[in-house]
Amino acid sequence: MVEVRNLKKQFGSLVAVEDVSLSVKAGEVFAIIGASGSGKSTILKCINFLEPPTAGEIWVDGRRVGVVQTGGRLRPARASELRLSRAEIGMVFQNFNLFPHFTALQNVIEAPMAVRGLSRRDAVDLAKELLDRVGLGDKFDEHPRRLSGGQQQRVAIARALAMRPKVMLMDEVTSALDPELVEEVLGVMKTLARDGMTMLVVTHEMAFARDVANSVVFVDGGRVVEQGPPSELLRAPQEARTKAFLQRILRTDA
Amino acid sequence: MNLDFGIIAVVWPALLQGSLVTIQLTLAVLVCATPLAVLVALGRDSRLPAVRLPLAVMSAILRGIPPLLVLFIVFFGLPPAGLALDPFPSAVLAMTCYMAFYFGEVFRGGLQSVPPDQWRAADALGLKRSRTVVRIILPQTLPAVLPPYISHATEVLKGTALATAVAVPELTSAARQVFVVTFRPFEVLMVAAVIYAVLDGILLALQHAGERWAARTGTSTRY
Ligand SMILES: Nc1ncnc2c1ncn2[C@@H]1O[C@H](COP(=O)(O)OP(=O)(O)OP(=O)(O)O)[C@@H](O)[C@H]1O
Ligand SMILES: [Mg+2]
Repeated sequence: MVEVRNLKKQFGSLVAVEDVSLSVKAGEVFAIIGASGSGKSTILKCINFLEPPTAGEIWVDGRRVGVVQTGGRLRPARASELRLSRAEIGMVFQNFNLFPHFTALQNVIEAPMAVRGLSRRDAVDLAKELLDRVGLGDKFDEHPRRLSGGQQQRVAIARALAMRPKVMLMDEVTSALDPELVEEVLGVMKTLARDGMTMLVVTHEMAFARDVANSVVFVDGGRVVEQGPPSELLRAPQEARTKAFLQRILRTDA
Repeated sequence: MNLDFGIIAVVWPALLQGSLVTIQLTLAVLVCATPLAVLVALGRDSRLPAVRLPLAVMSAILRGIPPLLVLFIVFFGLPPAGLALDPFPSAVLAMTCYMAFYFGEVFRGGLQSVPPDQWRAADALGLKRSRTVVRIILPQTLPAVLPPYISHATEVLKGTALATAVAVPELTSAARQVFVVTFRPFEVLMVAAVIYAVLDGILLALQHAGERWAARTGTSTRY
């Protein structure tokens, strides 16, 4: 479903991501772990071209993202083509980034109407169904600032799902939440996983990675250090850097 | 002084007519200059120097010369160049050019007050740039933009009096013609002043309505 091949991203002279290759199958939950500044967010942003990669290839559902082949020649995708790719890729941010002047419902219906061409009625039906699904059936008309962080993040998940994406990119979606609100968001993510959504999840929640992810990758200094099923990578890491990272994070978790 | 406000009964049709022209001129300038100003604001921070630099130069020049001079350039300077406009459209064009850059700075400040993550969230959903600007970004600039916007709009309202110099029959010009015939300058000009004050008041009321809207929806508070 998602293929990242030899991805490199450079900001000026700083190499943030170097030679990263990942392969995520349909219905798989793929967790990315690593220290702050290791390039996790950059990997996600390159997948939907919020940050255009310096080198490498991104494939989503068999289609190249950001590059179009016409008559045997490759050219950068136009803005309109990029928008179509992005519509297939849901993204949820650490800070929710809901539109503050819209209600929960308006946040969810905006893109389906604008991008997918849904009628308002269909978009509202869809949005209500999705907000119900994330447990916010009674909050349609609330503005974000009247919702808790956990509720805002669930609206953001519904907003991304409303585009019927092929894959969801989730960047530390529980990191900005008070501890007691983390579970309600993780719960929604577990449901999504069970329903077969393909997900790339950057997370510091090791329990979530262990219980839900099919695959875990540890990145350090912009490179993949180690990759494998959580049972192996989290329980018996091979690399010294992975061990050190896990020890550090498990100590702070406890 | 022997005041006679009974004169109002005689002069009000002329002053009303002048007020309508003043209102039309103000609205025409606001309607034309506001969208242009948004484009100026976006262009001023464009990544392309070919867009950014000419706008910076024009902004510096236009904001630095007297508005009356811009009006004269349009009304007297353009006809030899092949563009002869009537007084009213001349005034609209001149004030629009002038105000697009003043309002442009206002909107620019407003755009910078919106967190960049809002653009990113809209991009990630696949929204078009134009839709992002109109539906997502501009509404959030309202709290930052509204007070300076209204104070500039008040300048536009007062500035329409300059159009009397090219014989647009707006309120100040109407008042002058009326007192010249009635020999009652003080009363007539006081009435004109009151009308301007009322129109100002309407603009301020709009500002308060906008601020209430922003407070209700929470655009004014980051979260
Ligand atoms: N837009 C940018 N411009 C310049 N440098 C950037 C930019 N975005 C990220 N970087 C740099 O790239 C590196 C990787 O950043 P990234 O945000 O991907 O890390 P991360 O693993 O997500 O960290 P965190 O856990 O703190 O979110 C960092 O050194 C960061 O400073
Ligand atoms: Mg990050």
